[in-house]
Amino acid sequence: MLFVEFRFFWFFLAVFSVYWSLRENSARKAWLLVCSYAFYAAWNWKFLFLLMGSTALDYFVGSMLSRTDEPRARRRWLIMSLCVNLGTLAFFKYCNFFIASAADLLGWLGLPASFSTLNIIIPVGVSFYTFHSMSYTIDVYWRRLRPVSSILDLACFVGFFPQMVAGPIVRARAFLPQLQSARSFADVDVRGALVLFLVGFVKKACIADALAPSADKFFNAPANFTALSAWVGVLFYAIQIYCDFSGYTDMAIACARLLGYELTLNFNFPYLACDIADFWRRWHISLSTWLRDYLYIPLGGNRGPRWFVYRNVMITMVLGGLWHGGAWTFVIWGALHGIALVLHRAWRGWTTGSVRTRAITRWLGWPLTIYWVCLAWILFRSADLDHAVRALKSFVLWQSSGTHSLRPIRLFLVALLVLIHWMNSRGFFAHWWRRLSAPAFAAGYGCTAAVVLLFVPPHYAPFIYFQF
Amino acid sequence: MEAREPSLPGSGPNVHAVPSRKGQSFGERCRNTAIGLAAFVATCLCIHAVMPEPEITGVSSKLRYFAAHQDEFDTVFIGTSRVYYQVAPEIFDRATAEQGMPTRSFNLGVAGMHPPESFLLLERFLKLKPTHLKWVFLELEDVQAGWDPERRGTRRLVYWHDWRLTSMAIKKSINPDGNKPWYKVLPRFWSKTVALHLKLYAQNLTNVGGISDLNDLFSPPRDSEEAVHELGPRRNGYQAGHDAMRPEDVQDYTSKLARAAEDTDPRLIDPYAEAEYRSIAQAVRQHGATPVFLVPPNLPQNPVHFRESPAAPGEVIAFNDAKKYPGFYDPAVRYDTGHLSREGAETFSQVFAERFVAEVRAGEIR
Repeated sequence: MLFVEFRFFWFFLAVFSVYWSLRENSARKAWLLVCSYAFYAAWNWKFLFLLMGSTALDYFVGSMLSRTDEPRARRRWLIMSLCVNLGTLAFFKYCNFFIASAADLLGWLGLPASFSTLNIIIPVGVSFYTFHSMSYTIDVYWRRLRPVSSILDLACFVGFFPQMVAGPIVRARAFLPQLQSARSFADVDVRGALVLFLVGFVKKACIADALAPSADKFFNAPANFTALSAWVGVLFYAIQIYCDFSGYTDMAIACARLLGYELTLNFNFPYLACDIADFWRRWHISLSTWLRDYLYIPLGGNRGPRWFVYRNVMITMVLGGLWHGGAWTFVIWGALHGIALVLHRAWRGWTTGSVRTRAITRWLGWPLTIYWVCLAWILFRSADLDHAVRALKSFVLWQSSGTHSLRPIRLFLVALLVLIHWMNSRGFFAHWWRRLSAPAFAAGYGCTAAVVLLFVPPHYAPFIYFQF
Repeated sequence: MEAREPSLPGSGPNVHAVPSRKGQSFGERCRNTAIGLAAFVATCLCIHAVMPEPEITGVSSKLRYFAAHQDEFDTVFIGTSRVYYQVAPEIFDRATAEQGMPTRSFNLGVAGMHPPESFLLLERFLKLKPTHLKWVFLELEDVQAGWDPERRGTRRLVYWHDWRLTSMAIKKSINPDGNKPWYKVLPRFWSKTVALHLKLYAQNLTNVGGISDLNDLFSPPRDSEEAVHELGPRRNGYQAGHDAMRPEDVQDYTSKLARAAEDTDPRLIDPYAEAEYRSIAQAVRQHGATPVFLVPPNLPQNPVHFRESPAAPGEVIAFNDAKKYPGFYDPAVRYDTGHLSREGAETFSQVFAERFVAEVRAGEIR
């Protein structure tokens, strides 16, 4: 069930109406849990048991952690939870990748081996809910969070349907306190949530899904297209993935908000970033901060010698890339961002205090960042390294023997979307809609929604991040 | 870099909720919701009313061509691929001319055009008010509540879902013979087919993807190769079908035919299709033409009838009888279980025309 489908509208209407008609907080949470599990079961009910198992395990580990102060015992419980959670993730997402990579390595070493890969279906959102669940155990271990007394709270947090399958990756310590007190409808920003949902819907259904066929056409056969079309295809994909993912996030935040819950911010105009570090402060913020807090800092973070810090950055980014899926393209994508972050850090160290270099950075930072991000998207999107190399050749070296064209005239669309993005960041679409009277807002919203539907392709593409 | 103040919530850091106005009562909220819904529905209806008809592959080009050349034709065949690929107007016209009853026919058959979709085509065809029309051949079929999964997400699946045809498909799906009491029908509402038709109806009414229809309107005409394919090389709507079936498929076909031949009990057309055929036949007659119902050489061998009362809306010319027409069931002239080969189609067009003329002369078709 996608947020942009008709059936989601009816589903949410039922969730919303019953939720606010219940008075007891525990009844509301029970209802939310039932609905969340029904939402997940709409994809594949069998994997519901995996979700329940993961929740039960972390609830148990949380309880055990609260019962002992003995460091070794606590560490053992934590390791058990991490092993099971990461083991599940490794089995479903990386098993075939490791098998195929091992076979390739052995073949390269002159020891040809034939392993058959497993026919594994990746559970939707496994990377997201595993990280939700792990954040709970780790925070309890670090004593940043008290373990929940009721498994219902934890199950609601892990399985909360707006954020379960594609984030944002909400921290347990940010969400669990919200579950503990009954939400009041008077505190709900209904108008803001409705506008946010519509914005997300437009991003996903009208922009991302409209650009997807052109981007797909290019990435399916990059060698067939001219170098200029490679730029069109890559820029379209850059916009598609942003609108797809941030559109989903906007809708998730809006749905949660209508139920009285606040989710974490996930995007902050990432394509306006002036350097690569800034980009990662704006793109998929919930993942980058998760990796920072639970991986980068435990690895040593910024402490220690420079090369040690660079190593930490590279490990974090490569594992961040691998988080997206078991493929070398994702690993290289992460590594490319890691290299850029290291170079940026080094550059910043060399140029501290220099006015001239600061000016250069200011003027060249944005195009360089966009160029590097787009270049990395090629790895992220390509089906395999072969396709990626062909696309990179066109994009970077402007070398292609392909003759097909993606109608470069459509680049004006990119310019238009960048302009809207920039105007939005500058507050051009200020909160004028908040000043409208309630009936005027309702009428305007109804008309706008009807017009928006005109621009929706007849069939919806699944959200890109659902596969992760 | 400092995070700036964005204007749309969620697109930037100011996602902090602004609480709703506490002064709003439940009644006010209901009123505002009703206003929003009314505005939505009204806008959808207004847009729906002014939107051009969508360009449907296989359908639009044929209707357009017929509208532009309607004075050239007095006979029309409407139906599925069994009409599109099996009734060759040039052969039909030659045969009727040889019999002394010349016709100028056009094939309006479209692959996969089953009722209720075909009823919309008939409606649009009749709206053209063809002045020289004498004969309208309609392929006689039950309403098909199912759908082709290959068409998922296409405009072809959506465009015919107005309320009349959607409710017809739903009724057929939940109460196929129209004789079940409501308490037996009610649980069937909870089915994927009903949900799909309702979704498609909503999609049609709310103009989902309508902008691409406007895009078609302003786009240059589709390339001639595609149009020629739909209209056929002679621009009479007929497209020659395929070669005869492969030898390895013959066994499967003959066993299916043998099974079908065991069931030759006459059956009634479903009540929903019958009601619609009756109303269409009446409209055809109002245009001064005569409706004739056609059952091509299909695998099911049951003679299909209208209910006796009131009188049948038109004569049924049926060829789904392997004993009477063994030549059309020979694997050598069949492409698959449902269709004749190119060669079979040419023979069929000739035989069909001869039978038609004979029945007109005998006074059976009137």
